[in-house]
Amino acid sequence: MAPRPTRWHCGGRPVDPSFGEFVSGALRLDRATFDLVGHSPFGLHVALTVLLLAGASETLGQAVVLVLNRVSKRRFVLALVLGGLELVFEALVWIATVWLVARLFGGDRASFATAVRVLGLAFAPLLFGVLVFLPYIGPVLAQLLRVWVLLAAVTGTSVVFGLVPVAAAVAAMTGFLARWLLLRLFGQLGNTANRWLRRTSTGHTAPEQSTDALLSLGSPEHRG
Amino acid sequence: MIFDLVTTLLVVAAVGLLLNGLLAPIESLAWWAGWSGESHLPLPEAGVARPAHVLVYLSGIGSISGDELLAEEALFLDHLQALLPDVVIVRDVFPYSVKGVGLTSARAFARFWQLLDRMRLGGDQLLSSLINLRNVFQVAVAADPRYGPIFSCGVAQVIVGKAIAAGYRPDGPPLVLLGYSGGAQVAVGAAPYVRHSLGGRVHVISLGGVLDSDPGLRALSCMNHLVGEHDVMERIGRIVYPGRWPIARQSAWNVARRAGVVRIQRMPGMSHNTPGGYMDPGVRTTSGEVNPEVTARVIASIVRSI
Repeated sequence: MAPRPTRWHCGGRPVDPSFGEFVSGALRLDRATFDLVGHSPFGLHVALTVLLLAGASETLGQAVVLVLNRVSKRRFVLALVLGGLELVFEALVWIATVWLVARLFGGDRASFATAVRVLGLAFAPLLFGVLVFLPYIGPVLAQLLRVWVLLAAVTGTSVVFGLVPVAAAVAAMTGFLARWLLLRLFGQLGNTANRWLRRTSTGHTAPEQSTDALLSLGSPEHRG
Repeated sequence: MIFDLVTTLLVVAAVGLLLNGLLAPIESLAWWAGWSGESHLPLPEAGVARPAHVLVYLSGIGSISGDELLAEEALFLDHLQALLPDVVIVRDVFPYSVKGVGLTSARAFARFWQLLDRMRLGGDQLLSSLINLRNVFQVAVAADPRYGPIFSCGVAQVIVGKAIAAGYRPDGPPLVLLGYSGGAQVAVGAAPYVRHSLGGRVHVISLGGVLDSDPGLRALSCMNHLVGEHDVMERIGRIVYPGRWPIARQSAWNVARRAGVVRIQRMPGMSHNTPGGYMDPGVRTTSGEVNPEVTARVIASIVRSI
């Protein structure tokens, strides 16, 4: 990685930016911010916080799934926490594959911890995941946020492994592909984990579909 | 100085809009989850009379409660009732709530909405437009594939209850849902659930409906879509909902149009709201009738032909 930039100063000494400054830099796809978080002693803390909050925000944005399953308020909160942890797990799988692929591409030999610091921050756009809750435009926003994350991930990959943007994009995309393949390969394990997560957070084994509402309307319960 | 003020006002407005949007689906979701108490209405006793038709009116986005119609809407329905004396017109459904509960009824912010209602009656258009904004977001909830089924399921229960109380029988003619503006979206969304509950056919009349290509169109026996020559709002619906675009050939809307289920009828010289709207009593046509009389006459002839 390049020598640490010192954009922030206090009394002549460089200081770490705040959490908000890290996040806003990541949202602007600012390379210097990704570089700073890779060197910051608080970088890991920042990245994991972003992932946990982004996961909870995204779960909150998709709360309709929880509500369709008629979860209690307690399980609803539990689902938000587990949603955060799920994103941390997913991100770690993806970061590990990018870390391996970037080495194959001849990228800088950054440590795995540095990769987690930088690429974890790339999930910052998902902090807006709650906006997916908005009626009608929510699903479109969800797609836009995913594209934003991909762009941030390409920027972060380029910074942490010193790759040109095209190679970084290929590494990031390969990472997503490898993550998908791994999840397919260990699908049974993934399904079991998913079922456990769903059962723990919602109390149901299979998610109810919104169209089920039509069927239940005709049930004796709904007929009063 | 002025720039700062304008910027602040714009930020406050944007945040308010965002909050309004984020809160919009909560009533429906809380109802479905059972967090807001009783979620299933018992059906009332069937009405004794057997009217020729039961017509349920679903008002436009300016509506604040089922107990209180805008003066224009009430006048229009009076004209319609005079032309259809053997039809029961149900006027008291509030279509922008999953439970049919009006904004000024038993709600946490009922006093706030009552205040806005008084301001509107006093002629204040700016703040009272918050009522319209709130209801527009409920139309978005109705059109959303995630929330729409839940919202429509609840509204359908309200419609079914009112229709049965008004004397509707499944072995009789179709139930007619007359939706004005956003009320048409609510009508189409609720149609499959109404049909499922009543076991009878449903006919929708959309008056300047701002409609998505809703899957509910597949449940209709027919929909008459009345469009004013100068109706800008209806045109906006055609633009913002991709399922209405001609290129979406397999959308519910375009399939229903090709199958003759959706029948579009032009209303010469009419716009969406006052002035010049479908219900504007201040505009007289060349035939000497005022707009609500013309609109009522067109709708009455549709109802008689069902």
